[in-house]
Amino acid sequence: MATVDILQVARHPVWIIECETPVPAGFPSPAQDHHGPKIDLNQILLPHPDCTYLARVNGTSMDGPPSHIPDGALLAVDCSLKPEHGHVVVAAVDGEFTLKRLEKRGKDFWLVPDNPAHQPVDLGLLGHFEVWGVATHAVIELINGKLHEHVRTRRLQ
Amino acid sequence: MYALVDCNNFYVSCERAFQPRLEGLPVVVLSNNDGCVISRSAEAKALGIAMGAPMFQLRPLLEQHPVRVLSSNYALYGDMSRRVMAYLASAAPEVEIYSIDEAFLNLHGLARFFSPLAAYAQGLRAEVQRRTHIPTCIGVAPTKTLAKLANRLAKKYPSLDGVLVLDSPARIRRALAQVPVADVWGVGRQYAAKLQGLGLATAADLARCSDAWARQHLGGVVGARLVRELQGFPCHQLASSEDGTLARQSLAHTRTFGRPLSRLDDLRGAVAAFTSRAAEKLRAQGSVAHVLTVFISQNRFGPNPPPHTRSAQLTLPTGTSHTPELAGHAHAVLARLWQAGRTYTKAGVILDGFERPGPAQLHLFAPPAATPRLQAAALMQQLDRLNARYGAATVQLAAALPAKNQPAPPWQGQHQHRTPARTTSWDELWEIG
Repeated sequence: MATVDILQVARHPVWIIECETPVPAGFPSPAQDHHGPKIDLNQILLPHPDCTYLARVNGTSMDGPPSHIPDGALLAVDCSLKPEHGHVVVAAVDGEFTLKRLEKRGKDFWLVPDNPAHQPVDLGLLGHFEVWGVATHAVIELINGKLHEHVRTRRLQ
Repeated sequence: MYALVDCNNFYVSCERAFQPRLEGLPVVVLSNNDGCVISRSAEAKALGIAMGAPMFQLRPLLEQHPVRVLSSNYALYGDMSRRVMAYLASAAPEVEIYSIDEAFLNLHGLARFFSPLAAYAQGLRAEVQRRTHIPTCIGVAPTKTLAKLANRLAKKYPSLDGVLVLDSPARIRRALAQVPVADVWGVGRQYAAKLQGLGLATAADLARCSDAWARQHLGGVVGARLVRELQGFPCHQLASSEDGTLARQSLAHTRTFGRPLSRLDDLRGAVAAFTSRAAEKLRAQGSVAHVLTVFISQNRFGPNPPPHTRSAQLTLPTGTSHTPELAGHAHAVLARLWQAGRTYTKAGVILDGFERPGPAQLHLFAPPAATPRLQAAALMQQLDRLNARYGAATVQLAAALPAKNQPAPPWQGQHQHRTPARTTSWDELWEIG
């Protein structure tokens, strides 16, 4: 014998709450409990965003060991760090910026290019110079071409 | 104690940060549209170039001296300002960003830990210089008005090394005696003339006035507060908010055109473009506006008699931040202002009467909006998102585009000597040799 259930019909609108999370119908993902924050490259490249400046390298004077910074590389320059022996620095020499390695030789500091084809400069002989900031990272492209519309990190040959 | 940190020749200093060859040379930065001088290096000041001097007057001087002339590069200045303020906010307990290049700091209670305060202020200066390559001067005093005054003296006398701390009655007295009354923060040009007429020449004379006298002669309680502040009793607190910025009570977008315009179509384009920018700023601070003002100006030195500026105000039926709606109203106002046969050089759109957007106060007699409210809000949100991601004005009102045969909007200003936006644009990124 058939039973008839009489249901109350809602006369008011019934609001259904929409959830962003889909309800999984299958086996729950074992990684579900291990969701962390996403890895953010900025945390490594820009620990001090308010005093870090991005710049593009124009020239090959640092294209050699140990830094191997090619022409066109994208550079993070941090001004909060104290420049020390061995740092790659952006220096203002004679009104122009230059990217070189800061080295202490004896009493004087020198600006040394990593590319052996260029000559080091003795800062002791210069009238006026300033270390503008310390280069902390260089971003280079390993596929020669356009990986990104705006960030060309290596000049086309 | 309060401190006022003020960047020296801010726009010129921003340019120098990325062009070391400008060091030691006379440099000036021009206003929007290359009209007049708005920032000068110390060397340019020494040549006698006045603040606000129009470019055409300077030409003979520029031919005699190797002055570097630059158009303003607000993308760069805005970014450098943000960097300076971010550091100050991290280094002081409380910060009020007073303008693009000035900030008040509340140093209350700090004297116990950083003694003397002058050393603390020197530390701030050195750090700002190192992080942004921008030189600053700092005035420290018991009130904001005195801090402003101390800053002025720190700028004026190089022997102070950029810092002046007014921490004793004797020091305050000595500082007050050196500042003309016209240079006191809050004394306008009219009051300055009036005070000088009454025989008050310096800030010290003003500080000796009684409360009752100040109320009577200096505009009531405002004047009384000014005198109290000079006497070292704080009346003004820092006006800071959590992110250091203030939600503004009115917004304007006003520009001089790249060339004079007379066709209504061109002016409609300009007004639509300016309204779009103002509406964008309005949405960024999460407000809706109730009052819209539009003005258009003719050349002040042109043949037509005054008034050179005509403006009209409109109270909107409902508060809004919807660009098409605001632009529609602005066009209606413009149609009333525009006169055939006149040439206009400038226009502006001002939004007032702000409210937080909430449940709409619907208009009793107005027809329902063409686009439902929620849809309109979502549309504007998407618009702002696209423009934030792909660059300003990527998506904009068709009305704000130039006519078909014109390559660039004729209302857009000229910037012949602008340096690249080195810190904010991938295309113009800083290059190191």
